[in-house]
Amino acid sequence: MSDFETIAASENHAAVPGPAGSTGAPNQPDNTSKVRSLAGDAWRDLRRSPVFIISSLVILVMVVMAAFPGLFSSADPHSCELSRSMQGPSGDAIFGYNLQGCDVYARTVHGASTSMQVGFYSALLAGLIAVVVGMLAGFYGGLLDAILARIIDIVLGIPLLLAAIVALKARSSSEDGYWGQLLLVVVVLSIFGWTTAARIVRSSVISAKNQDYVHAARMLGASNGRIMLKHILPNAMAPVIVVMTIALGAFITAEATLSFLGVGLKDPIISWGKDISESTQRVRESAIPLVAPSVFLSLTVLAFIMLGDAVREAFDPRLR
Amino acid sequence: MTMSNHLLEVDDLHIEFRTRDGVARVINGVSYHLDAGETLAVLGESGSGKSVTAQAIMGILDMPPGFITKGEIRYNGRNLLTSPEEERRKLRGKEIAMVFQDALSALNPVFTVGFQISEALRKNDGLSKKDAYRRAVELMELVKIPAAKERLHNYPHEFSGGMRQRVMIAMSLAQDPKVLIADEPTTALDVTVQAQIMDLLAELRRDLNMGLILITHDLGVVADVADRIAVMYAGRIVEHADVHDIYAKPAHPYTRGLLESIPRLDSKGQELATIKGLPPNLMRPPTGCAFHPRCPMVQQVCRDVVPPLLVLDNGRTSACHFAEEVLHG
Amino acid sequence: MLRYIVRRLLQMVLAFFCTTFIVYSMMFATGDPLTSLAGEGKELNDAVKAKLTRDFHLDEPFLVRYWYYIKGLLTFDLGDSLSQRPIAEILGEAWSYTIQLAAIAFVFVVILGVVGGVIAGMRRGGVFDNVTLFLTLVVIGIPSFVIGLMLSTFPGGKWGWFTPGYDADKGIATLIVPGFVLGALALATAVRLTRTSVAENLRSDYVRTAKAKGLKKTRIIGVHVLRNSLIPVVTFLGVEIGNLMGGAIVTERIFNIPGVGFQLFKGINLSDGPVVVTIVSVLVVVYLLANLLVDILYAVLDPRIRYS
Repeated sequence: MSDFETIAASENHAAVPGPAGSTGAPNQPDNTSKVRSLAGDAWRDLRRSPVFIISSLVILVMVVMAAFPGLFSSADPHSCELSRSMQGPSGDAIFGYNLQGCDVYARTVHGASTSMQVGFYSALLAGLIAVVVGMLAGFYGGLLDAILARIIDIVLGIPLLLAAIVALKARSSSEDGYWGQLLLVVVVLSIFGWTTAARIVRSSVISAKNQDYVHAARMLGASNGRIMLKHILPNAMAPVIVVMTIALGAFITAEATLSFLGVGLKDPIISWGKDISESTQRVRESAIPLVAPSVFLSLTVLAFIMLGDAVREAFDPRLR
Repeated sequence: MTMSNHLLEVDDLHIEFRTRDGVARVINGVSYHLDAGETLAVLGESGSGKSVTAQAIMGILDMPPGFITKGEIRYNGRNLLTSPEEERRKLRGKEIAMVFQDALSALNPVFTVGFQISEALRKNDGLSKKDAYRRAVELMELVKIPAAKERLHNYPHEFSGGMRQRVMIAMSLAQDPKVLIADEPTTALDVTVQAQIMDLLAELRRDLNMGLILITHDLGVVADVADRIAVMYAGRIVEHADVHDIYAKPAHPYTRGLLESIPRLDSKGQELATIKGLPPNLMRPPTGCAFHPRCPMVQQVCRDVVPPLLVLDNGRTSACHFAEEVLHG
Repeated sequence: MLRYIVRRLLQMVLAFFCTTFIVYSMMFATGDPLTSLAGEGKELNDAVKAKLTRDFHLDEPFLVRYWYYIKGLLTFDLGDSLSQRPIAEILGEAWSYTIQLAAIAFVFVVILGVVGGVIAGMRRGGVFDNVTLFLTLVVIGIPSFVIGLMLSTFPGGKWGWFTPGYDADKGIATLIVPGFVLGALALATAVRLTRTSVAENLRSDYVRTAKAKGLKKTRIIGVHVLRNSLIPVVTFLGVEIGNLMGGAIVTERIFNIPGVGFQLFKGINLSDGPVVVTIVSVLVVVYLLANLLVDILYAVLDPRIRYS
């Protein structure tokens, strides 16, 4: 390490993004320099990053669209009349009608709710599995760690799309109803999508476990459960949230891809992937039924991935 | 300063690092020189600028963020800082070579030591692979690596710390340099191994008649090896003298502090003296003498005026307003 | 080195059993296995029922069934589809298309990915770097089936720049665009990974040492930095082979390429359980083998792995 890096390193001690203050560098040689934390630096960078601002706005719009589709479209996405099949844009339907004669704009707006729900629920469930497994493996170590690590390896070694096809192929049916179908997709995506996050939790738990304040808490007689929840978990959360933000985008993509292939969500759920798949049959007549959900889907996924990437980069001291 | 005929000369060097947090002036007018066959120890805490100066001599300083704002580095009378990069590259390893602190990270983990020792010989001197590897074995024998021939095809991580540092030294000697800069060559090693490496460096310096710059923060390791010592603090040389003079009577409070903080057998049971405080933040250096916040002899003048480098008897220099008092007090 | 390979081989065997077991039990974990195989709401005649029961040993306990399935996979006895065609025959016709497609994708990923990543990593913060970072993020963010559909619909179909699907008469040339689509995600990730890796390695101590030896910059980057930077990229490519196979289903469906993924897609649409389970299982095995190969390559690149 050169002398300069020693100087620079004294500015940034935290290697893992943690809550402000808990990992700050107390031994600043010069008291007049304002005390700064990694989180503070990261936040200052983020507020000025156009990628962060734009992706946050897109996500905000999509969340509102998912929660209150009526704000964006008053048409009923389920009222389809074959007589309107493939009609072009008009005052009633700005994107026209699709093959079944459904309002393309209304369906696209209502599709946001499906994608956002699948994304959020899958990310939550996968994140939960990741935190539990990663925490147990990292905290207890030893044999448990070895077994869990092998399980992670094996699950990581199963291609998500292939596994999901097999799992959904057998069971997914429109008779399951809205929540049944949604739940099935969410569970399948989570079961195969928690591994990367679990590895990250595991390594942050291991590094947090050896911090002095954890030793101190143990000395004061705190129980394992309390140490895990109160002292280690908060430190492991920031990287998990970043990874799960990116994973959220990936889950939305996976659902759309599965629905596109015909194994994901089925009627009556409106899914961008399914609508895109149906639009391809008559794309030569009108490309709007293809383009509209494609653009919405891409924007949503892009927003989550860019948001996650921007946050991760801001928190990564190696990239500063 | 008069032009003299030293092998290597650093003259009034100024270097700063420009970062997003501000400008750190890490080297503030450093001058020293080295002749063939002699050993100069550059001593200082981490952050004092001793490694940065060495990197500037080698031309391997990261620029940016580093900027050389003033000064000259002369090798055989030629100013390196104004030489074209291609010319400097040809000097690296061949005229001036460097041994780094942590051989584990300084050696490339994915190549065998034979490959790395012979690489410059093949690429710069045009030796055949066979000749270069034969020379690599000779070099490994020179630095006393046992079973050199068999170990040629081992990877750095397969060596012990001391042996790895010997590989590093063998590699630096490959192109017969006239000057060897050893940047904390023993810091990462066990105490017993430290002494072996130091002895090896001293021996090689004598046998090969090289100039050796020994960078260290440990005053204890240089006593037997160095001819002269330059003590650095906050990017300046605060004291520069013959090794015996410094050990006998330091002329700067900082040097005295360093000497007093060396553990001695005869002071067993007594509390070990330390220098209070921390080195200054070079983005906001103290006014006057950079050492004044930690100096036990501090006076008002120290806070106001940067002390000049005073020349004392026997050609030694000290950058302290009260150098004479320190020396004779 | 030999010990390392043997150990990886043993690990692969374990992974093979675990993975196939997971795939197999997902197929049959709940519900009536006949429905799982033939799809719901399909009236099966007794002959088909009997054949499925025989082929999949449905009258035996679950673990015995799994054993027969493994045996079939290992002896290339892949059984028949619901339409009475040997699945081995279906795969035999399809695999060469998928191999070609994957090869084209891989060439894009390795050449463009590594070259782009090295340039971006060397000029971190420069114009090329920032443009590359943004473009790759966009590619990662847009689902690949959307990229494929857009390319096949607009420049391919409407504007007529290229044949928007596989054309047997024009041969492999019509696979270039699909190959690019298949590799796009991996390409973008490879660029970013190489960039980070190169940028990190450029700052490492051994680069400074190489510089201090008087080596030329081209050699420092081309030999010292590249060799180290490729280690994480190779690992990534190993994982990515699995995604390439998943992606082949999408790409082959969009561009009508009669490869393995297309057959799998057809199997899904026809609710042909035997075809789906078998093809997925074969793909998983191919994936495991590819991973083994990558692990060995990894050990060749990184001597520290070999001996640990």
